[in-house]
Amino acid sequence: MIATIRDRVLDVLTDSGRISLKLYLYVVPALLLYAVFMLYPLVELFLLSFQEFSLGGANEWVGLANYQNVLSDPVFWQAAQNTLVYGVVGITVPVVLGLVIAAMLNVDVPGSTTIRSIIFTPQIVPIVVAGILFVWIFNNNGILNSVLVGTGVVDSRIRWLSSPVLALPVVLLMVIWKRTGYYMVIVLAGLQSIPDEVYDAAKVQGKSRWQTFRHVTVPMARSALVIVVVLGIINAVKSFASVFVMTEGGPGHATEILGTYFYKQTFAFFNYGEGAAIGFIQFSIVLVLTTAFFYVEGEFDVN
Amino acid sequence: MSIRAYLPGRDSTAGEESADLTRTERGLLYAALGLVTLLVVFPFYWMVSTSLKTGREVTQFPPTLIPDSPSLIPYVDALANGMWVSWFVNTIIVSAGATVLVVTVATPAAYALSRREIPGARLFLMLFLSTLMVPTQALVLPLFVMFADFGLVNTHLGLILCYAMLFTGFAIFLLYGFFNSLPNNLEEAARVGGIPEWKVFLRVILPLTKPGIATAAIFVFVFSWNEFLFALVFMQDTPMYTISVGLATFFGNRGSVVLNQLMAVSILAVIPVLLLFAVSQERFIKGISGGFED
Amino acid sequence: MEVELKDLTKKFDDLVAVNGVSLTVKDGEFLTLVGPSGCGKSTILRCITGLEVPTSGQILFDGEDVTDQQPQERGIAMVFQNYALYPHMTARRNMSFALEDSGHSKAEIESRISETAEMLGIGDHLDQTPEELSGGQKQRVALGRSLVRNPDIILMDEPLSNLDAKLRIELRAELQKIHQELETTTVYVTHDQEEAMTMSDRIVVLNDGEIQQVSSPEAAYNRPKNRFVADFIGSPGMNFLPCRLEGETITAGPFSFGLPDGAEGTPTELGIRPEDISLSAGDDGDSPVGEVNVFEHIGPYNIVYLEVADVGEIVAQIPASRYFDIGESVSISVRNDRIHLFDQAGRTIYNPPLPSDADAERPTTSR
Repeated sequence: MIATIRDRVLDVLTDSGRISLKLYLYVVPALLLYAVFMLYPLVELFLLSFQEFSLGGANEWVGLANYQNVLSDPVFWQAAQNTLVYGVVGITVPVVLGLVIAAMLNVDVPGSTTIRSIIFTPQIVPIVVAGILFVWIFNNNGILNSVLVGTGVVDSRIRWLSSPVLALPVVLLMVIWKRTGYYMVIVLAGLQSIPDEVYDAAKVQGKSRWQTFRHVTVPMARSALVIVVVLGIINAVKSFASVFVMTEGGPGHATEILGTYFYKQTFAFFNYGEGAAIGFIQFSIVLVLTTAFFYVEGEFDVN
Repeated sequence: MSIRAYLPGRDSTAGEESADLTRTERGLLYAALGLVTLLVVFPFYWMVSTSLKTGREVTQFPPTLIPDSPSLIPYVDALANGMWVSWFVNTIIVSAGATVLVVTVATPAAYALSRREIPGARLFLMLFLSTLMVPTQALVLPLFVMFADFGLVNTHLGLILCYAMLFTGFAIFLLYGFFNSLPNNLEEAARVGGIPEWKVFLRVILPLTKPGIATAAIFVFVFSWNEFLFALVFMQDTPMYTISVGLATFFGNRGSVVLNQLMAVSILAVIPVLLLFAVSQERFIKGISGGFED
Repeated sequence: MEVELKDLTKKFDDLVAVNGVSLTVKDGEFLTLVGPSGCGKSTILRCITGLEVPTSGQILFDGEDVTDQQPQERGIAMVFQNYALYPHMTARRNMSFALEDSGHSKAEIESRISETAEMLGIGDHLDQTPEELSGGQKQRVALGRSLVRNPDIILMDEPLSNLDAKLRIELRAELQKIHQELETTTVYVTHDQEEAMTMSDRIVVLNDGEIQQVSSPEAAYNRPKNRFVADFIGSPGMNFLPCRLEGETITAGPFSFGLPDGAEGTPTELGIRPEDISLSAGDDGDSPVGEVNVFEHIGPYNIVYLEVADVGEIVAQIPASRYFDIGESVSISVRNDRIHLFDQAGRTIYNPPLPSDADAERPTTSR
C-alpha cells in the first residue's frame, strides 16, 4: 500500500525528467519568509480592518464601521485624488523626459556614458535626502526664490510649499528629478539593442519617417502609455516618503496621498482599525489594477 | 522601444548616424544635454555648497551660490553629535543584515526555479513576482502589531526581517534571470560525470553566479539603505533610528534646523550608496527591471 | 559493459518520443543511434544516462536494473554536443573534478590526466580555461573529462555537430582510434548517416521513436529492411520509382526488369542507388532517356540529376571523368541485379545480393 503510494508520488514528481527532490527544499526558505511576513500579515490586515483596535485592550468587531468612516472622510477622497494626480504625472513626465533624453544620448556623443550615469544618480539617493534637499531649494529663502526674484521673473518670494496649489507640483518635481534617470536608462538600453540593420532595412524599403511613425509607432505607443500610467498609479498608491518628508501632507491636506493618510491615521492618531481599512483599500486598488494589467498584457515589463 | 527611432526629423538613432547631423543640430543637441545635466546636477551641488557654509551665510537671503569661506566645520559638528554616528551604524547593520539574509534565501530559490524540472516552477515564479506588487506599506500595521508581541520592535533584527520580506522577491527575479543565462548542460554534465547533487550546486553553479549575486546584493543594500517607512515605524527610540529616519525627524523640528549640518549629514548619507554605484555602474544599470522604492 | 534496453518507452505529455524500444548494446562495441530529428535517439541516450526517466521499460547494465538510479550512480560518462565544460575551471580541473572525491591519490589523478591528455593531443592546453580553447580543443577536453574516469560506457550526443567540416572528419578518425585502443562500450548519437556508417560496429536506425533496423553499417546500406532505411542511408539517397508487376516483369516508367529470384510479395516501389546507374550520351535507341537538369562535380565522382518522362527525377552517380551538359539527353542504364523492391507497406521485398554475399547480420570483425 505505502509502496504504491510512494511509487505514484514518485511517478508524478519524476515524470518529465530526473528530479532531485532536494530542489524543492531550495524554495522553502523563501516561501516560509513570505508566508510568515507577507501572507499572514495580509490576512491580519484584512481582519483588523473590521475591528476596533485598542492598544492593550480587547478588540471589538465593528463590521464595516471602519470602512464607512474612512469612505465618508473627505480627507480620504482628497488623498485619493492627489494619489491619482501623483501617479499619472509622476510617471508620464519622467517617462517622456526619459525617452527624450535617451534619444538624445543615443547619438554617439562623447561622454554619453558619463552623462547617463549622472542623470541616473538621483535614483540612488535616499528619498529622504532628496525630499529635504528640494524643500530647502524651494524654501521661502531658498535659491530658487532668490533666482526668480533676482532676475525679476516674479515680484516677491513665492511660498512654494505653503501654497495649497503649488505644494503638490513641487513634490512632483522632486519625484520627476529622481525618477527620470531610471526610465532613461531603460529606454536607452532598448534603443541600443536595436541592431543597425533594422534602420537600414527601413531606409531601403523607402519608408518615409512620417509613414512609419503614424502607422507603426503611434498605435504601439498608445498601448505602452496605458501600461505606464497604470504602473504609475500602482506606484503612487505605494508612495509615502516623498510627501511625508516634504510636506507631511500639508498645507492642510493639499498634498495628502493615501500613503500619508494611512500613516497618520495609524501611527499619529492610533486609529488602528481605520488604518487597517485604509491599508486594505490600498491593497485592493493595487490588486485590481494589477490583475487588469496582467489581463491585458501578460508580462510585467515596462519595456 | 523603437518609438523615438521613427520620429520625423530625428536623423540619428544609431551611433554611426551621428555623422548625419548638421553642425547646428549637433550644437543644439549638446546644449540640450548640457542643460539637462545641469538641472540634474544642481541640487547636488547645492547640497554640497550649503554644507560648507557657516554662520549666518547659511540662511541669508538671497543665498550665495558659492560659499564665502567654505569650511568643514558643519561636518565636524554634526559628527560630534553622537546621534548621527549611531544612526549611521544602525543603517549599516540593517542594510548589511538584510543583504545577507535576502541573498541567502533568494539564491537557492531562484536556482531551483530556473531549473524547470520542478513541476509548478512557473507557479512559484509567478507567486514570487506577485509579491513585488503588493503595496507593502499596508503591511506595516499588521507587522508592527505582530512584532510588538514578539519584542521585535526597535530591534535591528525586526527591521532586517521586514526588509527581507520587501526585497526577496526582487532578488529572486534578478537571480532567476541570471541563472537562466547559464548553459543548462552544466549540471547534466556534472551529474553524468558522477558529481553528487550538492557539489553540483555549490561547486559548479554557484561560482558562476557570483556576478549575479553581487548585483542582487548591491541592489538590496541600496534599497535597504534608502528605505524610510518601515524604518520610521519600527525604530521608535531615537538611538535606534536609521539615517533616513534621523534626517527626517531632525528636519521635522523646523524650529531649530541647523541646515548646514543637515546638508552635511545628507551628503554623508549619500556617499556610501554613491560609491557603491560608482564602482558597479554597469551591473546596476543592467539589473534594472522594475521595483524602485519611493 | 553490456547495456540492455527492455521495451523502453518515453512520453512527454502526449508525445511519444520512444515507443517500446528493445536493444542490446554488446560489451565493447561502438553502437550508433541514427535517424532524423525527433526520432528519439537523444531521448534514448538520455534514458541510458539517467537524465531522463523512462515512462515504462527497463534499462540494464550487465544485467543489473539501473532504471531508477541517478546519473551519478551509473558509472557512465557523456560527451555533449555543446561540450558543457565548466567555464570557471581550467581544462585540467575539468578533467580532475570528478575524481576528486573518489579516493584516488593526487599522483594517480595527475598521471591519468596527463595520459589522457597525451592521447587526445591537448597536453599543452591543460592549464587554459574553456574560453581560451578552440571548438576542437574543447571537445577533446570534454572527451578527456569522460575518459579519465575509466567509465564502463561512454555516451556521445552529436559531439561533432558543432565543429566545422574538416575538424569533424579529423575527430571522427580519432574517436575510432580511441575506441579501438580502449574498447569501451560506446553509444553514439548522430543525425549524420555518414558519421554513423564510418564509425560504428553496428547502427540502429530510428524513426518516430521506433527502431527501423539494427545491423552493421554495410547491412544497413546493402540490405535495408524497409523503405525508410533504404532512403535514409546513403548519400545521395536511393532513387524510388513506383512500379508494377506484370507476370515476371517489373515495369517502372520506361524501365523494365525481370523479377529476381527470391522476391516475395507484390512490389509497388523499386529502388536503385545512384551508383548503380550508368549514363551514355545521346539516345541509343534501346534504353530509357533522360534530360540533364543539374550536374554536380563532387571531386572523386559526379552527380547527375535527370528528368525522366513518366518517372520524374532520377539521380545518378558517375565517374569523375564523364561529363554532360545541362539539357543534354542521355541514355540511362540500370543494372538488373542491383534493384531493391518494396511493397505497399514500405517493407523490403527484395535486396540484391552482394558479390561476396556476406551475412548481413554478422558484425564486422577485428576493429
